[in-house]
Amino acid sequence: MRITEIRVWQRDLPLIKPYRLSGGRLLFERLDSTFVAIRTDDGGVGWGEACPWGHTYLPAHGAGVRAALELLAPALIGTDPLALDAVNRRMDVALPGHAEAKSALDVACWDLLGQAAGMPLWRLFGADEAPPVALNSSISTGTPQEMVALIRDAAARGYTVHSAKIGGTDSAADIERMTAISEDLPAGHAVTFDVNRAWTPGVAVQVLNAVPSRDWVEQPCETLDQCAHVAERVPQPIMLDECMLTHQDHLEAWKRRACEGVKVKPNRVGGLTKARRIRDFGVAVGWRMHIEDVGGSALADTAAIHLAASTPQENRLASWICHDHLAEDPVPGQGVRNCNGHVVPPDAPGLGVVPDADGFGDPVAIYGG
Amino acid sequence: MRITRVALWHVPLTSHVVYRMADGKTCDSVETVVLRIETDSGLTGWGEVCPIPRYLPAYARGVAPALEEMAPVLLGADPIGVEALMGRLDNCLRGHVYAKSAIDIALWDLTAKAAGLPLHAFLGGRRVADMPLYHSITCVEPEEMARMAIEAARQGMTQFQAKLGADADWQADAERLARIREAVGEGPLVYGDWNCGSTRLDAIRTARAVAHLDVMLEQPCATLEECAAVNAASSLPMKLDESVHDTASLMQAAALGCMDAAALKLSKFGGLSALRRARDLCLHFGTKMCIEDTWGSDIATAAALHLAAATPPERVMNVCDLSGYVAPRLDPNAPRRCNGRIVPPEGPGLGLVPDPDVLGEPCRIFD
Repeated sequence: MRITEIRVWQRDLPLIKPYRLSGGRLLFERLDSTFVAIRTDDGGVGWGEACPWGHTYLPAHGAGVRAALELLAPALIGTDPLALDAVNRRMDVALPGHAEAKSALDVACWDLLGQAAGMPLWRLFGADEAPPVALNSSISTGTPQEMVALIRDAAARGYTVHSAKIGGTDSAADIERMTAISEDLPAGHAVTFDVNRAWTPGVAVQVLNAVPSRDWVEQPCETLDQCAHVAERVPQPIMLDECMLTHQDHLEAWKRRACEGVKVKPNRVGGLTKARRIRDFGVAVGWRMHIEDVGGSALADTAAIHLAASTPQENRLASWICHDHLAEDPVPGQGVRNCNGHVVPPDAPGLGVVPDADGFGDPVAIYGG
Repeated sequence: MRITRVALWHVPLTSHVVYRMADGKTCDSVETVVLRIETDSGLTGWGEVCPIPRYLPAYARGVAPALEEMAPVLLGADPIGVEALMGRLDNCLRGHVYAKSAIDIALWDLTAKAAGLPLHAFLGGRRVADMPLYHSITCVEPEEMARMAIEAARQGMTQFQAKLGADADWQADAERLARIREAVGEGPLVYGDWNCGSTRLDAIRTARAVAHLDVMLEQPCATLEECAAVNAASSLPMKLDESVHDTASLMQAAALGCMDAAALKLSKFGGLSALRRARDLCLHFGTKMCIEDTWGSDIATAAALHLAAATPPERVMNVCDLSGYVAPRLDPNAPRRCNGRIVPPEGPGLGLVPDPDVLGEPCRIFD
């Protein structure tokens, strides 16, 4: 099988309501998503999506995805899409870094591999069954009262695990937020406090030793070095996210005992191939992982949920789905959908999401063909 | 003063000699990106970044989309006080340090022009009249590389960087270092650069084969740990390049003890603001510095020369006249190598006047 053509579409995905994180420092109103369809000489089509969370969250942005595809897509024309490791090596030689663009192509090749094998991706990732995956809500930064109200809303929609976005320059406000949320948390629910790298190490150590909460705390500071410093000095388990870009970063985090878990996001690390390696490493060293994508429609969510569903329960924490926050649905009704706080990955071969290309309008680029 | 417009050009630079490195990386024709930041005062600032394909996580056509993302912050901003504005750009778009490098250089050019001072006055003050250059020798047959070294030595060059690893033959790499060392005689600095293209085993075998020679090794493998292992297994000093690119990696390299010298490249760190911080850190570590950029023409070259001229000369190992390796020259009057040394341009700011005929019409305008 050979890749004959790669088509690229751009879609604006507005959020239902503006979203703030990192102490309100970062505001998001719409996402810029890029869809790719890889066609092969035997008539197959594989789909992928790359959707950075705005341009202030990770070193990635929508226009940059499409600019990078100008180098990456031609490098794959004429090659075998089912040889996933070779596909990734080829992309890594063509353009170092730029995981956010490689991710879409990698996911589309996995879609083709699943279709060729007649198996859903969760099976190719090693699972014998795909149990429902618990979902993580995402609670925008606000006053303690606002955040408590958002958690109650999410609970009413079936969510039992919550990711509360905190972190700012006012450490007293963060102590108040954490205390109020812990006190009001419904029985049986769990919360992760996601700081999105807003604290300096000193503030992190001060706040985390002042609160009664013993829940997970995510990405307290900017760098791995700073987070490792904090992890040694606080009672809460630490989860890392934004500072984990390469496999090497994960080895370094483990070596330095900087965390007890990580977020595994295909778009942040370069696709499902690299995310699976990180997942497998995490299982081997006993990490707990939230497996989800950086952003995107139900297509990107579904790709990540295939990997989440195939991960042993003891290593897996809840997954967030982005499309619950979007005002538009480019793949109506398809893929994983929230059912009482849980999702189940599709059983259809491959990714199990097939966008209606006609509804996407004209592609912004066509390679090969 | 307010920024009113940014013009961007893509200019292909053709190497006088095709330049080969490990893993099939080459520089025969490479696109450079030139920026001109215009202001309501009439002053303009010039910036440049020229990513070598497949060398770092950077590519020429990634600059314009990144600039488009940052344009709303850049346009209307006061260009004076470079770090403040660069901080706002960092909040607008994370990473993309190579694109920011061109912007940062242009802002420094503007700031120094506004003050009517040469740029080195803002980077610590001029320490020296001129700086030593190194000559980089493409990875070909050992004999031919020795011939190229002799030719450069005749022009006054005293520092030679031999590219290694293009044929993945550790014995040929040892031969390259031995032949060049012999060709240039005692005294000149000779070092061999794998550009991450070797393995620990092969690099250690090469290192042990030349252990009796006065040579330095550069960036044999992709990670710091591997480079440190090669360094520990050999008695030779080591220079690092690709794996030192920010404060954290410089700190780690210093802690591993494998950074006798380091390549401080503008676009790897994110421009003059970031490179000045790296320079100050290397002064603390006692690391000898090669102050330059990955590739480019006169703007990138001049920016690095200003920083080097303002750095204690005993810590500047060398600089690079990138614009001497390629055509066209962006500014025909920019400094050229003379007897193995080079001076920064005269005049306010970078001291450059790029030739409008060479640039032609801008490819993109942001206003």
